[in-house]
Amino acid sequence: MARVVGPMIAFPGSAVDAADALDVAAVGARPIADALLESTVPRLREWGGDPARYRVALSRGQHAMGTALDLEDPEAIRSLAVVAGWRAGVLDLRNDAITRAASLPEPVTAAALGLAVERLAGFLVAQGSDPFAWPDQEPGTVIARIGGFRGLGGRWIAPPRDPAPIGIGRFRVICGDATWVIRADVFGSSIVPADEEQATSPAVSGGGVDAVVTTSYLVDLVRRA
Amino acid sequence: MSDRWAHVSQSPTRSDADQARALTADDLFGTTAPAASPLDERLRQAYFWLVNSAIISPFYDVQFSINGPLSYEVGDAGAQLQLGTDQSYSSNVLLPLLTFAVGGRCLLIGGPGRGKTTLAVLMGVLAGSASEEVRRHVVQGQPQLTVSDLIGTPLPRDLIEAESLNDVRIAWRSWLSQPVKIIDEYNRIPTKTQSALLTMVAEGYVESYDQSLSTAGDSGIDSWYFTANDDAGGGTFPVIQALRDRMDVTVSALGFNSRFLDELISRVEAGDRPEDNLPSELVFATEDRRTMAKQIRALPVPVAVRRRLSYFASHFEFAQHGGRTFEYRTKDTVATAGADVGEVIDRNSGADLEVDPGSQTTAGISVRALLVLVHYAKAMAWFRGEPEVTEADVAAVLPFVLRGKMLPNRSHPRFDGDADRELALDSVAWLGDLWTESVRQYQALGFEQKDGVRDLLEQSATGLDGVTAVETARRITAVESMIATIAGTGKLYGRSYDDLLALKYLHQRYSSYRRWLESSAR
Repeated sequence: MARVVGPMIAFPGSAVDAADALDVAAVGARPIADALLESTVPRLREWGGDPARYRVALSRGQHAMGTALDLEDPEAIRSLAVVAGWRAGVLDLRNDAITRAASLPEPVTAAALGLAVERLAGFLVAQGSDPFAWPDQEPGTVIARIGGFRGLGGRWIAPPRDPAPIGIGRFRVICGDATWVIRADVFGSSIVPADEEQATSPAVSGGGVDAVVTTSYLVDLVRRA
Repeated sequence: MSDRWAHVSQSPTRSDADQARALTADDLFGTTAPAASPLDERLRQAYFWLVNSAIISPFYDVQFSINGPLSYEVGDAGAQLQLGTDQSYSSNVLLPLLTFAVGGRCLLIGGPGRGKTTLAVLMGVLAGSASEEVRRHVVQGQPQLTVSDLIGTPLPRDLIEAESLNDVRIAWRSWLSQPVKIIDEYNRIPTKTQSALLTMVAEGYVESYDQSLSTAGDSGIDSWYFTANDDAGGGTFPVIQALRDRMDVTVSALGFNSRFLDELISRVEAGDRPEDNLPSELVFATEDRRTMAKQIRALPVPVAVRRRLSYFASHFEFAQHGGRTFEYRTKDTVATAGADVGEVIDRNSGADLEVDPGSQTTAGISVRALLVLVHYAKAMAWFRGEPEVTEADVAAVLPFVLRGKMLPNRSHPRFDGDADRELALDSVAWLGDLWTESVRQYQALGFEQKDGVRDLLEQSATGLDGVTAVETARRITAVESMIATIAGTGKLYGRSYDDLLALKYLHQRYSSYRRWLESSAR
């Protein structure tokens, strides 16, 4: 699996996106031919998803069928779109995506998620308890880099410190005087201000993933050894 | 559209709400109608798109801080780099955007090629016009621009056939009905044509052959952007003062930071222009603009902020030797007589020019400027998601509103000294400093806790119903006593001048009422 290696300048992102990021940016820039599917792109973007990755995931899922998905089966289109949306980083589609993955042919789901078909079943089972699960993930692997300086499009005006897990897929960090909650899974993340309870709750197990600060404005989520 | 442009800042850009909510296919396909972002959130998203993707403006000169900024002394010439500790903004994007929101007039100044026109075009695209249409409707200032070029011409057939002026139809220029109007290099427009422009900018309509056209269009909100290469009113033709005064805010187009060259190279390679790539969700429809303007106007200005603003405005009208009649001892009296205001201020021997902010300017603050200041302070607070206007909001917009309207008195000793010489060039810093000093004086003099004139005015504001002759006499005595107290302080400054005139107003009011009571009693 590709690692999110740190160059001189690190950028936020998920490790699973690293291998084909350039291809996705080039191919995913073109609108989808199907108007109904293309109309979902603005919503996906508003939820923090990557439109290019979404379009590519949809396209891969459709091609896995051999021909275009049967448009008389709108439910199959909706299921593929939800899976593709989850793959594109919309955290909140995760539950619906995992449910709907069971209703799609395995090659379609695997293609949309960017997995080999034989890895799909194990991945979906593992996702039931570990939102960061991904095949062949070695201990020490950086799963995602999250955050960034607000002046460059990130959320924070002060470097993050004292990261602590507060639930499965949830971490708390402090930036200056403000406390933030990071929600994340293997495909995406979101950062929101912490409420009072989140700001003061004790740290709990992070489910096999630790949050560490290695650069000035980014938090790395690292598979625990 | 390339997705290089498509990144819209994730909501909330300032809200504290945790947005975790399980989404389903119904949400993705719109079967469940998604909650529309509030308008202030959308305007913030537009701001971040502009500074991060369109203009690339990594400046934060409109600074907000919690518990004060971080400061670094830089070099040996007194330079300071301040880091705001709350969300801060780039003036050359923020002020045009606020102008868009309130339907104001923004003057963008700066050298050629700094993105002034591009920024104005982006405001037009935000209003829903196509980029080619916006560019086509830019009015290019040039020495041969006539009034007809600007507004349109009568239809030739009507000129021949009409029996009265009312029958002459005008082919109005199409730029007049655009929601965002752009005048490029307005200081290259001939004076006569500037006068026609003034009517449009000031009154919101244009007239020819007894026909008139409203320039505000369907929304009633039209925003104007003017560009010029310098702020001094010079150019091919001098800008008429009345037109210059109609500019609600004046903003410098800031330079390009060379550390961000990669993005420019990408644009050259892709042949992209930001105005061709505005994400559709950032466009504001006509109804959005109306609602936005209404929400801004409705934002309250709390009492504490009003008092500081009132105190600030009181400094600048007064000129001790401006006239003989008390009401005419003003800078305006001096200026309209063609005399030098600085010289008249200098003659006020014994006055402490160091502590008197009023002595630093050659003009007072006009009513129009005050109205604009309040309006833009509301817009600033609304943009930041505040429930009411704060002192920081006023401080943020004040320099841009008063720039070009309140000019420095260059003969003031402050501008001779080494420490503050650059303030004569940097009017934004100078005006900001005037506000800061005024607030400091207001607090040091204890006006928050005790202000006798304010108490008398508030008492008067409750009305005269049921006020007896005895009570009226008591109040008149209180007013006269207050006047005597102020008169006895020796040197008169602006703040006291306004107070004395307000006390005179009260005295006149109570005296008239007392005479009426006496005549009613007979």
